[in-house]
Parts: sequence; C-alpha cells; structure tokens
Amino acid sequence: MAVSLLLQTNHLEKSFGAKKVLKNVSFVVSPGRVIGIEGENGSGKTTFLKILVGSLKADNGSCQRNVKMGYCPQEPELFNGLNVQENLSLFADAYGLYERAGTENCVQNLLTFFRFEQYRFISVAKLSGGTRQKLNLIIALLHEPALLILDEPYSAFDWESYVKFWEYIRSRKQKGVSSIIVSHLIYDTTQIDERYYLKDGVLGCASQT
Amino acid sequence: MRFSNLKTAMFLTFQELVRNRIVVLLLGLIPLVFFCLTVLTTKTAPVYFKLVAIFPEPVIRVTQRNAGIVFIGLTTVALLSAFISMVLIQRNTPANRRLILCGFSRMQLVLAKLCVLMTVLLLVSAVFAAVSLIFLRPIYLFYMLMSFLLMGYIYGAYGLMVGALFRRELEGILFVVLLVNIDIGWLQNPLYYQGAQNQQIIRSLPAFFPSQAGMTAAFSDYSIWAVWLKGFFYGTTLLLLVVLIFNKKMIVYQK
Repeated sequence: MAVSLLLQTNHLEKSFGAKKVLKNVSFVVSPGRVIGIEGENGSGKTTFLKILVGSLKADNGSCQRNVKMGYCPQEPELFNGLNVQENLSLFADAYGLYERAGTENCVQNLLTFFRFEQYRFISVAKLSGGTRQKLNLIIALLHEPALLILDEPYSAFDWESYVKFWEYIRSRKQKGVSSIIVSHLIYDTTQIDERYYLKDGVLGCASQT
Repeated sequence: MRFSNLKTAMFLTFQELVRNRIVVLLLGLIPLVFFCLTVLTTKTAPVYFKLVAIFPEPVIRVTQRNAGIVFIGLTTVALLSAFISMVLIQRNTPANRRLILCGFSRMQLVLAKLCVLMTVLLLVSAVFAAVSLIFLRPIYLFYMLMSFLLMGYIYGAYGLMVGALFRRELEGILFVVLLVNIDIGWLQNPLYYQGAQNQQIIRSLPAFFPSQAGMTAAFSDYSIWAVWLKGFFYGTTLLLLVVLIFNKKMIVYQK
C-alpha cells in the first residue's frame, strides 16, 4: 500500500540543560523527495536526525514513522574488530534480511555499485576514513528502506564516491524512496528538492522546487 | 526473538574478542608469570587460618606457598574476568546501539554477550586450574575449578556493570583494578581477614564466597556447595542489575 507521508513530526522540542536545541519543529516527508537540511556546526542537525530515527527522545512533540528507514550516522558506527563482510552479516541479520531470498544479491549489488568488493575481507580497523564512511552508508542501504536519513554522509568521500552517492540517491528517488541529507554545507543544490536551514533550534524553509 | 540474530551476534562477539591480541596474551601469560612469582617469593613455612564461611569455622594448616598459589589464582581470575567483560560491553557501544536501531533486540544483544562471557570464564578458570597443578595438588581439583569459575562469574558481572556504567575504558580499568586490589588482593586474604575488624563489611564484598570456596576446596575435605550457591546468588543479582542498566542505556524510541 502506498503511503502518502513517510514521516511526520509535530512541534518537536529538545533541550540539553538550559540550551534549547530544537524549538517547535514540524516537518513532513513525502515519497520520492530529496531533502537537504543545512545548519552551522552545533545547530542541532544531528539531534534532530537522532530524534527522527528514535535514538533520542524529544522533550515535547511527536514523530510518526510510517515506513522502513535507513540511518547513516555522522561518525561511522561499526564493529572495528570485525571485517567488512562480518559487519554486513551482523547488520543484515539485525534487519532480518537473511530470512528473505535475494539478500546476498542485494548486498553484492551495493558492494559492486560503490566499488567496495575489494574490501570485503579487510578488518574495519584497517580501512581509511573515507572507506569506513562508505561502509557506514552501505549498512544504511542494506534493507532497501523507503526513507534514507543520512547525517553528513559524504564528508570524507573522494570525488568518485561523491558522484556515485548522488547517482544512487537519484536512482532510489525514481523508485519513490526519499532521502533526508544533513550537512553543514550542501554544495550541489540541483540534486535537492527541498532545502531547510536549522538555526537557533528553528527549522526554516530555504527553498523548494 | 530471532535465534539466528543471537547465533550471529554470539559468534561475531567471540570472534572479535579472540582477535584482541592483548586478551589472548593476558590469558596465556598471566597464569604462568603470576604463579612463578608466587613460588619464587613465598616460603614453605606453615600458616594457620580459619575457613569462616564453613560451619563450624575449621582452622586449617597449609604452607604459605600453597595458600599463595590458590589465592593468586583467584585474584587473577577475577582481574581477567572483570577486564574481559568490561571490554565486551564497553567497546562498540555506538555500533551496538545502531544494531538495536536496525532491529536487534536489547535482550538478544545482552544474551549474546553473556554467552560469550560464560565461554571465556570457563576457559579462564580451566587454564588457571590446569596451570596451578604444576605447583599444587589440591584436595578437590573439581571444586577448586568451580571456585575459580564462581570468582570469574561474580567479577565478570562486576566488569559488565563497570562497562555499562562508564563510557571510557580508563575509568573502567581504574574501577576494576581498585576493587580487585582492595577486595581480593587485600581484605579476603585469610591471614588478613582473621585479624580484621568489621568483618561483616568484608563478607559483603564480591570475592568473599569464591575465595572461601577456593581455599576450602584446595585444602580441606569440607563441602563447598552452600558457600558456592550463596556466591552464585550474589553474582546473579549483579548480573540482573547489569541487564537493567544495559537495557536502560540502550533504549530506543521508535514507536
């Protein structure tokens, strides 16, 4: 069944001590949209995303999630003592993917697309920063979610990976998948359908297509 | 609860632990070094002490060296178990949290860690009991092994708790070393214990039951089961507390 709204937040508020990080943030995500959220360092972007994925609890307001989400955190959250394949297995198991047919193909396709196959049996601890970030992203995509929530996903990417990233986002968009991309600076605004700016805890609309 | 999740998490947690060279090195080297040091620094003169957890508190006579070997064995099992379990729970906290966000249940994750911990404890206790045989002939080897296991169980639970409470490894190590030193390294030593005041405080510390059980098993033919069960209850209570803390720490809000 098609869902008209993938995600909806109403009047979200969050404070850390006396500092109000989010003030009355209401936000909706429709299918097939690429949404960019910008903001200076410390403006509350990561806090906002953590509330969206359920890692943090808002002090007030509600967050309604209607579809499967894929979350790529800002700092790679991986098991450094395991190799790439073992990390993929663990997260695929968490998503419940190994009970479904075609999972191995899906993983293989992602690795091929992002040119990651040569790292399959290398320990995560030995990967470079950019390669770790790529694995961090691939893990968020494993279960083919309908909504991607990506926190500074490409800050350590080389140019080729950056181009591949946008190619992937466009291809998913054509299938109705939406992406929320958070960055302190979004260079390529042509890829974005909706742009927001988070400042002093208030989410404002920057521009819209 | 999906069994495949538990199996994968257990296997990979164990894999990660085994790849940690420091843990493997500690496990192989520490028993030999510590036992050798004890043998080199103790005399064979007799010492007398009371087994205070055994009715009717019998006094036993052993050599200073033999008492030292059992005691150092218990101390190092505690230290290693607490350290390994702290590493198990403290390392990868953000990745574990991400796993939960992706669909793992908190219970599966904590169960996987406990299963790995139990395997490691069995291994640590067996290694120590086996190496101690080079220097000592205990009266009941199996009971001594069970006492080592009990020490590992209680201090393993303590290590998990430290790992769940403290974010950084340095604070964790400090708390592990501090308690092991004060509790087993000092207060539970039967020679110190006899002359101590406020013995009730010493009896409430984690190492009381396992160290009493260890000494009893190695040097007397009294049964250790009553003491062992009390220790097991103590460890299980700590473990339940750990599960509560871990669950609270790893909570997600996805409804």
